[in-house]
Amino acid sequence: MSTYLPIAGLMDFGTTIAEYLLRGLAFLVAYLPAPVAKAFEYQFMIRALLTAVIVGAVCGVLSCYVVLKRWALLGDAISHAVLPGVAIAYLLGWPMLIGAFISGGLTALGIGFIQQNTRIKEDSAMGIMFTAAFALGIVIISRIATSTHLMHILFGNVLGVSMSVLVTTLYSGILALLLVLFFYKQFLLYTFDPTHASAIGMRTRAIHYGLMLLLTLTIVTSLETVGVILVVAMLIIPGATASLLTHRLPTMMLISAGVGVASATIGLYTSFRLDVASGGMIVLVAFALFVLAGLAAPVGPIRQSLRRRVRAGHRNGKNAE
Amino acid sequence: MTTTACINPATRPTSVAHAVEAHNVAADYAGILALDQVNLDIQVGRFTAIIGPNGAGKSTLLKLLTGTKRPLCGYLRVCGLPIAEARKANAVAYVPQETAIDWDYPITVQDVVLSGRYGHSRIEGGFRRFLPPAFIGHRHREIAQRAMQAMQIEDLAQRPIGALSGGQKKRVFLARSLAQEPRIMLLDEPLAGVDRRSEGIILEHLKRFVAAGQTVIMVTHDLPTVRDCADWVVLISGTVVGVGEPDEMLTPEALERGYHRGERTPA
Ligand SMILES: Nc1ncnc2c1ncn2[C@@H]1O[C@H](COP(=O)(O)OP(=O)(O)O)[C@@H](O)[C@H]1O
Ligand SMILES: [Mg+2]
Repeated sequence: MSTYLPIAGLMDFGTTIAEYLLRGLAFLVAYLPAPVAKAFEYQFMIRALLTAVIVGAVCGVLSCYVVLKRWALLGDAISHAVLPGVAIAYLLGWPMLIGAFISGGLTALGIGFIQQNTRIKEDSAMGIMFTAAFALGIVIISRIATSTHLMHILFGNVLGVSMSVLVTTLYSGILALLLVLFFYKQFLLYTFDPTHASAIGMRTRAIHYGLMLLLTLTIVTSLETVGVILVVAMLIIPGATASLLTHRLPTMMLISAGVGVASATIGLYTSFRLDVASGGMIVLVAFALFVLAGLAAPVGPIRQSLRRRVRAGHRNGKNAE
Repeated sequence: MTTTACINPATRPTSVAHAVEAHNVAADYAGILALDQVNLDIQVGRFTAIIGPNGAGKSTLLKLLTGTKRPLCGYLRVCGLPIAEARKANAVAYVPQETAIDWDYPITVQDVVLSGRYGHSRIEGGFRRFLPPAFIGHRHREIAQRAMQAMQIEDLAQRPIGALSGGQKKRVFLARSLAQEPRIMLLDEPLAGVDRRSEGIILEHLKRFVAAGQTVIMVTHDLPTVRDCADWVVLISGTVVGVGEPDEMLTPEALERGYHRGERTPA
Protein backbone atom coordinates (compact mmCIF):
# COMPACT_ATOMS: atom_id res chain seq x y z
CA MET A 1 0.00 0.00 0.00
CA SER A 2 2.53 2.58 1.08
CA THR A 3 6.17 2.52 2.03
CA TYR A 4 5.69 4.94 4.93
CA LEU A 5 5.20 2.80 8.00
CA PRO A 6 2.99 5.06 10.15
CA ILE A 7 0.74 5.71 7.18
CA ALA A 8 0.59 2.01 6.39
CA GLY A 9 -0.36 1.32 10.00
CA LEU A 10 -3.06 3.95 9.90
CA MET A 11 -4.41 2.55 6.66
CA ASP A 12 -4.53 -0.96 8.12
CA PHE A 13 -6.37 0.29 11.17
CA GLY A 14 -8.76 2.26 8.96
CA THR A 15 -9.33 -0.79 6.80
CA THR A 16 -10.32 -2.82 9.83
CA ILE A 17 -12.79 -0.15 10.92
CA ALA A 18 -14.14 0.23 7.39
CA GLU A 19 -14.66 -3.53 7.18
CA TYR A 20 -16.72 -3.49 10.38
CA LEU A 21 -18.75 -0.56 9.06
CA LEU A 22 -19.31 -2.36 5.77
CA ARG A 23 -20.51 -5.47 7.59
CA GLY A 24 -22.82 -3.39 9.75
CA LEU A 25 -24.19 -1.59 6.74
CA ALA A 26 -24.75 -4.88 4.86
CA PHE A 27 -26.61 -6.16 7.90
CA LEU A 28 -28.90 -3.11 7.92
CA VAL A 29 -29.46 -3.13 4.19
CA ALA A 30 -30.65 -6.73 4.37
CA TYR A 31 -33.75 -5.49 6.22
CA LEU A 32 -34.75 -3.18 3.35
CA PRO A 33 -37.40 -4.32 0.83
CA ALA A 34 -36.14 -7.20 -1.28
CA PRO A 35 -35.40 -5.37 -4.57
CA VAL A 36 -33.33 -2.72 -2.75
CA ALA A 37 -31.54 -5.28 -0.61
CA LYS A 38 -30.72 -7.24 -3.74
CA ALA A 39 -29.02 -4.23 -5.36
CA PHE A 40 -26.75 -3.90 -2.34
CA GLU A 41 -25.74 -7.55 -2.25
CA TYR A 42 -22.64 -6.76 -4.28
CA GLN A 43 -19.56 -5.85 -2.29
CA PHE A 44 -18.82 -2.87 -4.57
CA MET A 45 -22.34 -1.52 -3.97
CA ILE A 46 -21.95 -1.67 -0.20
CA ARG A 47 -18.59 0.06 -0.48
CA ALA A 48 -20.14 2.73 -2.68
CA LEU A 49 -22.99 3.14 -0.23
CA LEU A 50 -20.69 3.63 2.76
CA THR A 51 -18.59 6.16 0.84
CA ALA A 52 -21.67 8.04 -0.31
CA VAL A 53 -23.15 8.10 3.20
CA ILE A 54 -19.95 9.54 4.69
CA VAL A 55 -19.71 12.12 1.92
CA GLY A 56 -23.40 13.02 2.23
CA ALA A 57 -23.12 13.56 5.98
CA VAL A 58 -19.92 15.63 5.87
CA CYS A 59 -21.04 17.73 2.90
CA GLY A 60 -24.37 18.26 4.61
CA VAL A 61 -22.78 19.67 7.77
CA LEU A 62 -20.34 21.87 5.89
CA SER A 63 -22.96 23.10 3.46
CA CYS A 64 -24.61 24.95 6.35
CA TYR A 65 -21.59 27.22 6.57
CA VAL A 66 -21.41 27.57 2.80
CA VAL A 67 -25.03 28.70 2.67
CA LEU A 68 -24.82 31.00 5.70
CA LYS A 69 -21.54 32.60 4.64
CA ARG A 70 -22.70 32.85 0.98
CA TRP A 71 -19.70 30.88 -0.11
CA ALA A 72 -21.42 28.99 -2.95
CA LEU A 73 -19.06 30.43 -5.54
CA LEU A 74 -16.07 29.74 -3.31
CA GLY A 75 -17.10 26.09 -3.04
CA ASP A 76 -17.35 25.90 -6.81
CA ALA A 77 -13.95 27.56 -7.14
CA ILE A 78 -12.19 25.17 -4.76
CA SER A 79 -13.81 22.12 -6.29
CA HIS A 80 -12.54 23.01 -9.75
CA ALA A 81 -9.15 23.97 -8.41
CA VAL A 82 -8.42 20.47 -7.11
CA LEU A 83 -8.03 19.17 -10.65
CA PRO A 84 -4.34 20.08 -11.25
CA GLY A 85 -3.48 18.60 -7.86
CA VAL A 86 -5.17 15.35 -8.80
CA ALA A 87 -3.29 15.29 -12.10
CA ILE A 88 0.09 16.01 -10.54
CA ALA A 89 -0.47 13.47 -7.77
CA TYR A 90 -1.24 10.93 -10.51
CA LEU A 91 2.03 11.81 -12.24
CA LEU A 92 4.06 11.48 -9.05
CA GLY A 93 2.26 8.38 -7.85
CA TRP A 94 0.97 10.13 -4.71
CA PRO A 95 -2.45 9.49 -3.21
CA MET A 96 -4.88 11.55 -5.25
CA LEU A 97 -6.48 13.13 -2.21
CA ILE A 98 -3.24 14.71 -1.06
CA GLY A 99 -2.59 16.40 -4.38
CA ALA A 100 -6.20 17.57 -4.49
CA PHE A 101 -5.99 19.03 -1.00
CA ILE A 102 -2.78 20.90 -1.75
CA SER A 103 -3.98 22.51 -4.98
CA GLY A 104 -7.46 23.26 -3.59
CA GLY A 105 -5.96 24.77 -0.46
CA LEU A 106 -3.43 26.85 -2.41
CA THR A 107 -6.21 28.23 -4.58
CA ALA A 108 -8.34 29.08 -1.54
CA LEU A 109 -5.41 30.94 0.01
CA GLY A 110 -4.67 32.62 -3.33
CA ILE A 111 -8.23 33.90 -3.57
CA GLY A 112 -7.99 35.36 -0.08
CA PHE A 113 -4.65 36.93 -0.95
CA ILE A 114 -5.87 38.60 -4.15
CA GLN A 115 -8.94 39.85 -2.37
CA GLN A 116 -7.03 41.39 0.51
CA ASN A 117 -4.15 42.85 -1.45
CA THR A 118 -5.63 44.10 -4.70
CA ARG A 119 -8.76 45.98 -5.71
CA ILE A 120 -10.13 42.92 -7.54
CA LYS A 121 -13.52 41.96 -6.08
CA GLU A 122 -14.06 38.60 -4.44
CA ASP A 123 -16.12 37.01 -7.21
CA SER A 124 -13.65 37.99 -9.89
CA ALA A 125 -10.75 36.76 -7.75
CA MET A 126 -12.48 33.39 -7.50
CA GLY A 127 -13.29 33.31 -11.20
CA ILE A 128 -9.69 34.01 -12.12
CA MET A 129 -8.11 31.53 -9.74
CA PHE A 130 -10.41 28.61 -10.34
CA THR A 131 -10.59 28.79 -14.10
CA ALA A 132 -6.80 29.09 -14.26
CA ALA A 133 -6.33 26.11 -11.95
CA PHE A 134 -8.96 24.08 -13.80
CA ALA A 135 -7.33 24.90 -17.13
CA LEU A 136 -3.96 23.77 -15.78
CA GLY A 137 -5.57 20.53 -14.64
CA ILE A 138 -7.15 19.90 -18.03
CA VAL A 139 -3.86 20.59 -19.80
CA ILE A 140 -1.91 18.18 -17.61
CA ILE A 141 -4.53 15.47 -17.77
CA SER A 142 -4.89 15.73 -21.54
CA ARG A 143 -1.21 14.84 -21.72
CA ILE A 144 -1.01 12.01 -19.23
CA ALA A 145 -4.22 10.13 -18.85
CA THR A 146 -6.90 8.37 -20.76
CA SER A 147 -10.20 10.10 -21.16
CA THR A 148 -11.98 7.61 -18.87
CA HIS A 149 -9.67 8.72 -16.10
CA LEU A 150 -10.60 12.34 -16.74
CA MET A 151 -14.27 11.40 -16.78
CA HIS A 152 -13.93 9.72 -13.39
CA ILE A 153 -12.36 12.78 -11.85
CA LEU A 154 -14.88 15.15 -13.39
CA PHE A 155 -18.01 13.12 -12.73
CA GLY A 156 -17.06 10.77 -9.94
CA ASN A 157 -16.79 7.02 -9.91
CA VAL A 158 -18.41 5.90 -6.71
CA LEU A 159 -19.10 2.37 -7.97
CA GLY A 160 -15.38 1.87 -8.53
CA VAL A 161 -14.30 3.07 -5.08
CA SER A 162 -11.39 1.00 -3.80
CA MET A 163 -10.82 0.03 -0.18
CA SER A 164 -7.97 2.51 0.21
CA VAL A 165 -10.08 5.38 -1.12
CA LEU A 166 -12.89 4.38 1.22
CA VAL A 167 -10.49 4.44 4.16
CA THR A 168 -9.13 7.87 3.23
CA THR A 169 -12.68 9.14 2.84
CA LEU A 170 -13.53 7.75 6.25
CA TYR A 171 -10.56 9.43 7.89
CA SER A 172 -11.05 12.82 6.26
CA GLY A 173 -14.77 12.68 7.02
CA ILE A 174 -14.13 11.98 10.70
CA LEU A 175 -11.48 14.71 10.81
CA ALA A 176 -13.84 17.25 9.22
CA LEU A 177 -16.66 16.45 11.66
CA LEU A 178 -14.31 16.62 14.67
CA LEU A 179 -13.05 20.02 13.52
CA VAL A 180 -16.62 21.29 13.20
CA LEU A 181 -17.34 20.02 16.71
CA PHE A 182 -14.27 21.53 18.37
CA PHE A 183 -14.44 24.86 16.53
CA TYR A 184 -18.21 25.13 16.65
CA LYS A 185 -18.16 28.36 18.65
CA GLN A 186 -15.54 29.91 16.41
CA PHE A 187 -17.33 29.05 13.18
CA LEU A 188 -20.68 30.12 14.61
CA LEU A 189 -19.45 33.56 15.62
CA TYR A 190 -17.33 33.97 12.52
CA THR A 191 -20.32 33.37 10.27
CA PHE A 192 -22.82 35.27 12.45
CA ASP A 193 -20.97 38.29 13.88
CA PRO A 194 -17.23 38.37 13.11
CA THR A 195 -16.76 41.67 14.94
CA HIS A 196 -17.93 40.13 18.19
CA ALA A 197 -15.71 37.11 17.52
CA SER A 198 -12.77 39.45 17.14
CA ALA A 199 -13.73 41.53 20.20
CA ILE A 200 -13.62 38.49 22.48
CA GLY A 201 -10.20 37.49 21.25
CA MET A 202 -10.90 34.96 18.49
CA ARG A 203 -8.52 35.11 15.56
CA THR A 204 -10.94 35.75 12.75
CA ARG A 205 -8.41 35.59 9.97
CA ALA A 206 -7.20 32.18 11.13
CA ILE A 207 -10.83 31.04 11.39
CA HIS A 208 -11.46 32.33 7.87
CA TYR A 209 -8.64 30.35 6.33
CA GLY A 210 -9.35 27.38 8.60
CA LEU A 211 -12.92 27.22 7.34
CA MET A 212 -11.69 27.49 3.75
CA LEU A 213 -9.29 24.59 4.29
CA LEU A 214 -12.02 22.57 5.97
CA LEU A 215 -14.17 23.17 2.93
CA THR A 216 -11.32 22.01 0.74
CA LEU A 217 -10.97 18.86 2.82
CA THR A 218 -14.67 18.15 2.38
CA ILE A 219 -14.55 18.71 -1.35
CA VAL A 220 -11.54 16.45 -1.69
CA THR A 221 -13.35 13.80 0.33
CA SER A 222 -16.32 13.93 -2.03
CA LEU A 223 -14.35 13.82 -5.23
CA GLU A 224 -14.73 10.09 -5.86
CA THR A 225 -18.44 10.13 -5.19
CA VAL A 226 -19.89 13.01 -7.14
CA GLY A 227 -16.90 14.37 -9.01
CA VAL A 228 -15.36 17.79 -9.38
CA ILE A 229 -18.23 19.38 -11.25
CA LEU A 230 -21.14 18.31 -9.09
CA VAL A 231 -19.57 18.40 -5.62
CA VAL A 232 -20.58 22.01 -5.14
CA ALA A 233 -24.22 20.92 -5.41
CA MET A 234 -23.71 18.75 -2.33
CA LEU A 235 -22.23 21.79 -0.58
CA ILE A 236 -25.21 24.02 -1.31
CA ILE A 237 -28.41 22.03 -1.70
CA PRO A 238 -28.51 20.21 1.69
CA GLY A 239 -27.79 23.41 3.63
CA ALA A 240 -30.27 25.43 1.60
CA THR A 241 -32.90 22.71 2.11
CA ALA A 242 -32.32 22.66 5.86
CA SER A 243 -32.41 26.44 6.11
CA LEU A 244 -36.00 26.33 4.83
CA LEU A 245 -37.05 24.14 7.74
CA THR A 246 -35.42 25.43 10.94
CA HIS A 247 -34.19 28.44 12.87
CA ARG A 248 -31.39 26.78 14.81
CA LEU A 249 -27.94 25.97 13.54
CA PRO A 250 -27.53 22.55 15.25
CA THR A 251 -30.91 21.42 13.88
CA MET A 252 -29.99 22.83 10.51
CA MET A 253 -26.80 20.76 10.53
CA LEU A 254 -28.68 17.59 11.43
CA ILE A 255 -31.33 18.09 8.75
CA SER A 256 -28.68 19.03 6.24
CA ALA A 257 -26.61 15.94 7.00
CA GLY A 258 -29.83 13.90 6.73
CA VAL A 259 -30.55 15.36 3.31
CA GLY A 260 -26.98 14.59 2.25
CA VAL A 261 -27.17 10.98 3.43
CA ALA A 262 -30.65 10.43 2.01
CA SER A 263 -29.76 11.78 -1.41
CA ALA A 264 -26.55 9.75 -1.46
CA THR A 265 -28.40 6.55 -0.60
CA ILE A 266 -31.44 7.03 -2.80
CA GLY A 267 -29.36 8.46 -5.64
CA LEU A 268 -26.97 5.55 -5.56
CA TYR A 269 -29.75 2.99 -5.63
CA THR A 270 -31.64 4.75 -8.42
CA SER A 271 -28.55 5.16 -10.53
CA PHE A 272 -27.87 1.43 -10.14
CA ARG A 273 -31.40 0.49 -11.17
CA LEU A 274 -31.55 2.90 -14.10
CA ASP A 275 -27.92 2.37 -15.06
CA VAL A 276 -27.12 6.08 -15.11
CA ALA A 277 -24.31 8.23 -13.62
CA SER A 278 -24.38 8.00 -9.81
CA GLY A 279 -22.99 11.48 -9.16
CA GLY A 280 -25.65 13.10 -11.30
CA MET A 281 -28.41 10.98 -9.78
CA ILE A 282 -27.34 11.84 -6.21
CA VAL A 283 -27.51 15.55 -6.98
CA LEU A 284 -30.90 15.16 -8.68
CA VAL A 285 -32.30 13.44 -5.58
CA ALA A 286 -30.90 16.25 -3.42
CA PHE A 287 -32.60 18.75 -5.69
CA ALA A 288 -35.89 16.87 -5.44
CA LEU A 289 -35.64 16.98 -1.64
CA PHE A 290 -34.97 20.71 -1.85
CA VAL A 291 -38.11 21.25 -3.94
CA LEU A 292 -40.14 19.16 -1.49
CA ALA A 293 -38.82 21.16 1.45
CA GLY A 294 -39.55 24.41 -0.35
CA LEU A 295 -43.15 23.34 -0.91
CA ALA A 296 -43.65 22.02 2.62
CA ALA A 297 -41.69 24.68 4.55
CA PRO A 298 -43.53 26.82 7.14
CA VAL A 299 -43.63 29.71 4.65
CA GLY A 300 -44.03 27.42 1.61
CA PRO A 301 -47.13 27.39 -0.57
CA ILE A 302 -48.69 24.21 0.88
CA ARG A 303 -48.80 25.32 4.49
CA GLN A 304 -49.69 28.88 3.49
CA SER A 305 -52.75 27.73 1.61
CA LEU A 306 -53.66 25.36 4.46
CA ARG A 307 -53.46 28.27 6.90
CA ARG A 308 -55.56 30.39 4.58
CA ARG A 309 -58.16 27.68 4.30
CA VAL A 310 -58.30 27.22 8.07
CA ARG A 311 -58.74 30.98 8.47
CA ALA A 312 -61.46 31.06 5.81
CA GLY A 313 -63.14 28.15 7.55
CA HIS A 314 -63.22 30.10 10.83
CA ARG A 315 -64.71 33.12 9.11
CA ASN A 316 -67.35 31.07 7.30
CA GLY A 317 -68.23 29.40 10.56
CA LYS A 318 -68.72 32.79 12.18
CA ASN A 319 -70.85 34.03 9.32
CA ALA A 320 -73.09 31.01 9.60
CA GLU A 321 -73.83 31.72 13.26
CA MET B 1 2.37 39.80 32.50
CA THR B 2 4.57 41.59 30.04
CA THR B 3 1.88 43.72 28.50
CA THR B 4 3.84 46.94 28.84
CA ALA B 5 7.14 45.55 27.69
CA CYS B 6 6.91 47.01 24.22
CA ILE B 7 6.08 50.52 25.37
CA ASN B 8 8.87 52.96 25.95
CA PRO B 9 7.92 54.31 29.39
CA ALA B 10 9.81 57.54 28.79
CA THR B 11 7.59 58.54 25.92
CA ARG B 12 4.31 56.84 26.81
CA PRO B 13 3.40 56.45 30.43
CA THR B 14 0.55 53.95 30.34
CA SER B 15 -2.26 54.94 32.56
CA VAL B 16 -4.91 52.49 33.65
CA ALA B 17 -7.15 55.49 34.29
CA HIS B 18 -7.64 55.62 30.53
CA ALA B 19 -10.17 53.36 28.88
CA VAL B 20 -8.89 54.33 25.44
CA GLU B 21 -5.63 55.94 24.39
CA ALA B 22 -4.99 56.70 20.74
CA HIS B 23 -2.03 58.64 19.42
CA ASN B 24 -1.54 59.42 15.77
CA VAL B 25 -3.72 56.52 14.71
CA ALA B 26 -4.64 56.17 11.05
CA ALA B 27 -6.80 53.56 9.32
CA ASP B 28 -7.47 52.93 5.66
CA TYR B 29 -9.57 50.81 3.35
CA ALA B 30 -7.45 49.65 0.38
CA GLY B 31 -5.26 52.74 0.59
CA ILE B 32 -8.04 55.27 1.13
CA LEU B 33 -7.78 56.85 4.57
CA ALA B 34 -10.91 56.63 6.69
CA LEU B 35 -9.24 58.02 9.82
CA ASP B 36 -6.05 60.00 10.14
CA GLN B 37 -4.05 61.50 13.02
CA VAL B 38 -6.51 60.41 15.65
CA ASN B 39 -5.44 61.55 19.10
CA LEU B 40 -7.85 60.61 21.81
CA ASP B 41 -7.81 59.80 25.50
CA ILE B 42 -11.01 58.61 27.12
CA GLN B 43 -10.98 58.23 30.88
CA VAL B 44 -12.39 55.21 32.63
CA GLY B 45 -15.95 55.74 33.85
CA ARG B 46 -17.06 58.08 31.08
CA PHE B 47 -20.33 57.82 29.22
CA THR B 48 -18.84 58.81 25.89
CA ALA B 49 -20.84 59.80 22.84
CA ILE B 50 -19.15 59.72 19.45
CA ILE B 51 -20.85 61.98 16.97
CA GLY B 52 -20.07 63.04 13.44
CA PRO B 53 -21.47 62.98 9.89
CA ASN B 54 -21.96 59.81 7.86
CA GLY B 55 -18.72 58.37 6.61
CA ALA B 56 -16.79 60.24 9.29
CA GLY B 57 -15.04 57.09 10.45
CA LYS B 58 -17.02 56.46 13.63
CA SER B 59 -17.63 52.78 12.88
CA THR B 60 -14.03 52.47 11.75
CA LEU B 61 -12.85 53.72 15.15
CA LEU B 62 -14.94 51.05 16.87
CA LYS B 63 -13.52 48.41 14.52
CA LEU B 64 -10.03 49.46 15.58
CA LEU B 65 -10.97 49.09 19.23
CA THR B 66 -12.42 45.58 18.73
CA GLY B 67 -9.38 44.50 16.75
CA THR B 68 -11.49 43.73 13.66
CA LYS B 69 -9.37 46.23 11.82
CA ARG B 70 -5.70 46.89 12.32
CA PRO B 71 -4.53 50.49 12.34
CA LEU B 72 -2.24 51.65 9.55
CA CYS B 73 -0.02 53.29 12.12
CA GLY B 74 -0.14 54.84 15.56
CA TYR B 75 -0.38 53.88 19.19
CA LEU B 76 -3.57 52.33 20.51
CA ARG B 77 -4.36 51.01 24.00
CA VAL B 78 -7.56 49.82 25.61
CA CYS B 79 -7.62 49.77 29.43
CA GLY B 80 -3.86 50.21 29.28
CA LEU B 81 -3.48 47.02 27.23
CA PRO B 82 -2.56 46.46 23.59
CA ILE B 83 -5.66 45.54 21.61
CA ALA B 84 -4.78 41.84 21.39
CA GLU B 85 -4.41 41.62 25.19
CA ALA B 86 -7.59 43.58 25.81
CA ARG B 87 -9.50 41.20 23.55
CA LYS B 88 -8.20 38.14 25.36
CA ALA B 89 -9.16 39.76 28.68
CA ASN B 90 -12.74 40.20 27.42
CA ALA B 91 -12.38 43.91 28.12
CA VAL B 92 -14.33 45.10 25.10
CA ALA B 93 -17.93 44.33 24.24
CA TYR B 94 -19.49 45.40 20.98
CA VAL B 95 -23.08 46.08 19.92
CA PRO B 96 -23.16 46.04 16.10
CA GLN B 97 -24.93 48.36 13.73
CA GLU B 98 -28.24 46.97 12.46
CA THR B 99 -26.86 46.50 8.95
CA ALA B 100 -23.88 44.45 10.14
CA ILE B 101 -26.00 41.41 10.99
CA ASP B 102 -27.65 38.79 8.77
CA TRP B 103 -31.07 38.63 10.42
CA ASP B 104 -31.94 35.37 8.64
CA TYR B 105 -29.17 33.58 10.52
CA PRO B 106 -30.53 30.45 12.25
CA ILE B 107 -29.85 31.43 15.83
CA THR B 108 -32.12 32.09 18.78
CA VAL B 109 -32.10 35.06 21.14
CA GLN B 110 -30.80 32.88 23.96
CA ASP B 111 -27.89 31.59 21.88
CA VAL B 112 -26.90 35.11 20.87
CA VAL B 113 -26.82 36.26 24.49
CA LEU B 114 -24.93 33.14 25.53
CA SER B 115 -22.27 33.95 22.92
CA GLY B 116 -21.30 36.84 25.18
CA ARG B 117 -19.84 34.17 27.47
CA TYR B 118 -17.75 32.39 24.80
CA GLY B 119 -14.73 34.54 25.51
CA HIS B 120 -14.82 33.56 29.18
CA SER B 121 -15.47 29.89 28.53
CA ARG B 122 -12.54 29.85 26.10
CA ILE B 123 -10.03 30.77 28.78
CA GLU B 124 -11.24 28.56 31.60
CA GLY B 125 -9.62 25.23 32.40
CA GLY B 126 -11.07 21.84 31.61
CA PHE B 127 -12.31 20.12 28.51
CA ARG B 128 -15.59 22.01 28.18
CA ARG B 129 -14.05 24.99 26.46
CA PHE B 130 -13.44 22.85 23.36
CA LEU B 131 -17.06 21.73 23.13
CA PRO B 132 -20.08 23.40 21.48
CA PRO B 133 -22.08 25.91 23.58
CA ALA B 134 -24.61 23.22 24.51
CA PHE B 135 -21.97 22.05 27.00
CA ILE B 136 -21.14 25.50 28.36
CA GLY B 137 -21.08 25.64 32.16
CA HIS B 138 -24.05 26.38 34.38
CA ARG B 139 -22.49 29.61 35.66
CA HIS B 140 -22.28 31.02 32.15
CA ARG B 141 -25.92 30.18 31.53
CA GLU B 142 -26.94 31.96 34.70
CA ILE B 143 -25.08 35.11 33.80
CA ALA B 144 -26.64 35.09 30.32
CA GLN B 145 -30.06 34.53 31.90
CA ARG B 146 -29.58 37.55 34.20
CA ALA B 147 -28.55 39.69 31.24
CA MET B 148 -31.73 38.68 29.41
CA GLN B 149 -33.79 39.57 32.46
CA ALA B 150 -32.11 42.97 32.68
CA MET B 151 -33.04 43.65 29.05
CA GLN B 152 -36.53 42.16 29.58
CA ILE B 153 -36.19 39.63 26.78
CA GLU B 154 -36.57 36.36 28.74
CA ASP B 155 -39.90 35.77 27.01
CA LEU B 156 -38.20 35.98 23.63
CA ALA B 157 -35.42 33.54 24.54
CA GLN B 158 -36.40 30.85 22.02
CA ARG B 159 -37.33 33.21 19.19
CA PRO B 160 -35.17 33.29 16.06
CA ILE B 161 -33.18 36.48 15.99
CA GLY B 162 -34.90 37.69 12.81
CA ALA B 163 -38.38 37.56 14.35
CA LEU B 164 -37.93 40.62 16.57
CA SER B 165 -38.63 44.34 16.35
CA GLY B 166 -35.77 46.81 15.94
CA GLY B 167 -35.76 47.71 19.62
CA GLN B 168 -35.86 44.07 20.72
CA LYS B 169 -32.93 43.24 18.44
CA LYS B 170 -30.83 45.98 20.03
CA ARG B 171 -31.74 44.73 23.50
CA VAL B 172 -30.59 41.23 22.57
CA PHE B 173 -27.17 42.52 21.59
CA LEU B 174 -26.99 44.71 24.66
CA ALA B 175 -27.80 41.63 26.75
CA ARG B 176 -24.96 39.82 25.03
CA SER B 177 -22.61 42.65 25.97
CA LEU B 178 -23.82 42.66 29.58
CA ALA B 179 -23.28 38.91 29.74
CA GLN B 180 -19.73 39.45 28.61
CA GLU B 181 -19.03 41.57 31.74
CA PRO B 182 -16.65 43.86 29.87
CA ARG B 183 -14.84 46.98 31.01
CA ILE B 184 -15.75 48.96 27.94
CA MET B 185 -18.93 48.77 25.95
CA LEU B 186 -18.84 49.89 22.34
CA LEU B 187 -22.17 50.59 20.70
CA ASP B 188 -22.68 51.52 17.06
CA GLU B 189 -25.88 53.54 16.71
CA PRO B 190 -27.78 51.53 19.35
CA LEU B 191 -30.74 53.89 19.28
CA ALA B 192 -31.39 53.97 15.52
CA GLY B 193 -34.83 52.59 14.71
CA VAL B 194 -35.54 51.77 18.36
CA ASP B 195 -38.90 52.25 20.11
CA ARG B 196 -39.20 54.46 23.20
CA ARG B 197 -39.49 51.60 25.68
CA SER B 198 -36.38 49.83 24.36
CA GLU B 199 -34.49 53.11 24.33
CA GLY B 200 -35.39 53.65 27.98
CA ILE B 201 -34.24 50.16 28.99
CA ILE B 202 -31.00 50.45 27.03
CA LEU B 203 -30.02 53.87 28.34
CA GLU B 204 -30.90 52.96 31.91
CA HIS B 205 -28.54 49.99 31.83
CA LEU B 206 -25.80 51.92 30.12
CA LYS B 207 -26.02 54.51 32.91
CA ARG B 208 -25.85 51.75 35.51
CA PHE B 209 -22.85 50.27 33.75
CA VAL B 210 -21.08 53.64 33.93
CA ALA B 211 -22.15 54.13 37.55
CA ALA B 212 -20.43 50.82 38.30
CA GLY B 213 -17.18 52.40 37.15
CA GLN B 214 -17.07 51.08 33.57
CA THR B 215 -16.89 52.95 30.29
CA VAL B 216 -19.44 53.37 27.51
CA ILE B 217 -18.50 54.52 24.03
CA MET B 218 -21.59 55.05 21.95
CA VAL B 219 -21.87 56.20 18.34
CA THR B 220 -25.10 58.10 17.86
CA HIS B 221 -26.84 60.76 15.81
CA ASP B 222 -29.34 61.51 18.56
CA LEU B 223 -28.10 64.79 20.05
CA PRO B 224 -30.85 65.25 22.68
CA THR B 225 -29.93 61.85 24.12
CA VAL B 226 -26.28 62.83 24.12
CA ARG B 227 -27.19 65.91 26.15
CA ASP B 228 -29.21 63.83 28.61
CA CYS B 229 -26.94 60.84 29.10
CA ALA B 230 -23.38 61.43 27.98
CA ASP B 231 -20.74 63.15 30.10
CA TRP B 232 -18.12 63.22 27.34
CA VAL B 233 -18.47 63.94 23.65
CA VAL B 234 -16.07 63.15 20.82
CA LEU B 235 -16.75 64.83 17.51
CA ILE B 236 -15.26 62.94 14.56
CA SER B 237 -14.88 63.81 10.91
CA GLY B 238 -11.99 61.87 9.40
CA THR B 239 -10.08 62.70 12.56
CA VAL B 240 -10.99 63.91 16.04
CA VAL B 241 -12.38 67.38 15.48
CA GLY B 242 -13.33 68.12 19.07
CA VAL B 243 -13.50 66.55 22.51
CA GLY B 244 -15.20 67.85 25.62
CA GLU B 245 -18.14 68.03 27.95
CA PRO B 246 -21.56 67.96 26.28
CA ASP B 247 -22.10 71.61 27.20
CA GLU B 248 -19.11 72.80 25.23
CA MET B 249 -19.41 70.30 22.39
CA LEU B 250 -23.09 70.60 21.60
CA THR B 251 -22.93 74.30 20.79
CA PRO B 252 -23.79 75.30 17.23
CA GLU B 253 -20.24 76.51 16.61
CA ALA B 254 -18.62 73.25 17.76
CA LEU B 255 -21.05 71.14 15.73
CA GLU B 256 -20.47 73.35 12.73
CA ARG B 257 -16.80 72.41 12.82
CA GLY B 258 -17.59 68.71 12.58
CA TYR B 259 -20.65 68.53 10.41
CA HIS B 260 -19.99 71.21 7.83
CA ARG B 261 -16.47 70.61 6.78
CA GLY B 262 -17.93 69.82 3.39
CA GLU B 263 -17.00 66.45 1.96
CA ARG B 264 -14.67 64.80 4.41
CA THR B 265 -11.12 64.87 3.03
CA PRO B 266 -8.51 63.63 5.49
CA ALA B 267 -5.19 64.56 3.92
N1 LIG C 1 -15.48 47.94 4.22
C1 LIG C 1 -15.15 49.13 3.69
N2 LIG C 1 -14.48 49.17 2.50
C2 LIG C 1 -14.12 50.36 1.95
N3 LIG C 1 -14.38 51.55 2.50
C3 LIG C 1 -15.05 51.58 3.66
C4 LIG C 1 -15.47 50.38 4.31
N4 LIG C 1 -16.10 50.70 5.46
C5 LIG C 1 -16.08 52.05 5.51
N5 LIG C 1 -15.45 52.58 4.44
C6 LIG C 1 -15.22 54.02 4.19
O1 LIG C 1 -14.56 54.56 5.31
C7 LIG C 1 -15.11 55.80 5.66
C8 LIG C 1 -15.59 55.77 7.11
O2 LIG C 1 -16.64 54.84 7.23
P1 LIG C 1 -17.37 54.53 8.59
O3 LIG C 1 -16.37 54.35 9.65
O4 LIG C 1 -18.31 53.40 8.36
O5 LIG C 1 -18.21 55.87 8.82
P2 LIG C 1 -19.36 56.21 9.87
O6 LIG C 1 -19.60 55.01 10.72
O7 LIG C 1 -18.86 57.38 10.62
O8 LIG C 1 -20.58 56.57 9.07
C9 LIG C 1 -16.23 56.08 4.68
O9 LIG C 1 -15.72 56.96 3.68
C10 LIG C 1 -16.54 54.74 4.09
O10 LIG C 1 -16.94 54.87 2.74
MG1 LIG D 1 -21.25 53.76 10.96
